[in-house]
Amino acid sequence: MPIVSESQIPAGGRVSATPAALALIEELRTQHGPVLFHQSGGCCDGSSPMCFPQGEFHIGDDDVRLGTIGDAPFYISGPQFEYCQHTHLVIDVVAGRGGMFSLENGTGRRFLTRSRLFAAEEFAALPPVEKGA
Amino acid sequence: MERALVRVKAIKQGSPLDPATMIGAQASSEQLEKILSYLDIGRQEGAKVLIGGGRAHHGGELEGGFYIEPTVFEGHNRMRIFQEEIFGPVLAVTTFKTDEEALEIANDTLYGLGAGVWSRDANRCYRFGRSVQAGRVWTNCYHAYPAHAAFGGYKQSGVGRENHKMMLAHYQQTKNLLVSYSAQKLGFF
Repeated sequence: MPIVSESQIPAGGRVSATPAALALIEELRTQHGPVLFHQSGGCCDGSSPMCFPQGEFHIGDDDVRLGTIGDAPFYISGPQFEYCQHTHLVIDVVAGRGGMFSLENGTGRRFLTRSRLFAAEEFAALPPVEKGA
Repeated sequence: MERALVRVKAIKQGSPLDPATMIGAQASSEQLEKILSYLDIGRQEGAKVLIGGGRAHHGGELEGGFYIEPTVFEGHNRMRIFQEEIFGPVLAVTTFKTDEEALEIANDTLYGLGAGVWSRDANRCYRFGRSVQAGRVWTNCYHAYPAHAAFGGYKQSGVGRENHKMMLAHYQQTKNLLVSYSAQKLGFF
């Protein structure tokens, strides 16, 4: 079982990244310029956090900005946010071929979303999210 | 549920080359990791593991294969393991008391590609088939895929339906030539 250790999770916020994920983001930024993430909703993209060059992926008016990881803004669709807002997303990296069109494809590594349930008081203290780009 | 779990327990997992095998391994390590991450979040959300719940180890030449134990969770439809697509041998079950409640649970989802209804009451089968917001409702069967069957989807499902023959109609002009076969003039003018 991949248990997310407390030390991997920065306090607060709706999304965070492990050191391995932060390193990969930096690597991708060096190669592609500024990047952003969009959490995919299953099926073809496999519920992966998809990493795209900023400006290439168009953020919808209904997309929700969860926060930033390694200076990269992280979005999720509004309806999907409604169903998963009780969990904090932890973006990690595992060995694999990469998710379809996500930028890490071909590096032999792949971003993976892990999750942790918010404590009640932590959830109550979260700031409201912003919609759109 | 006890009787269903006996069936799940009897599933034979192993090498795809063994004709007795009913379920094989996951296709990739990332798929394995994704399923394990959902088993983790399911437990955190308070779902009860009725059977399975982890990686399976079969030893020998299968050791290191991406095997997941056939898993059944019992929980609430608002849990993420109910709402998101895990794509592994993981089933999330919940209970209902009335038809209305069952329908509400069935439609409380972002998606609507396929659904299943099981009943010996034909009236109930049809009412649910109509009311469940899904492109396909398998009724007293499941996962039948006749190649020519129309393909639809509600809400955030059904991308790709353009590939079906029915959709060619959307790209065509409707034109009706209304032709008289008569050799005689019509006589209007």
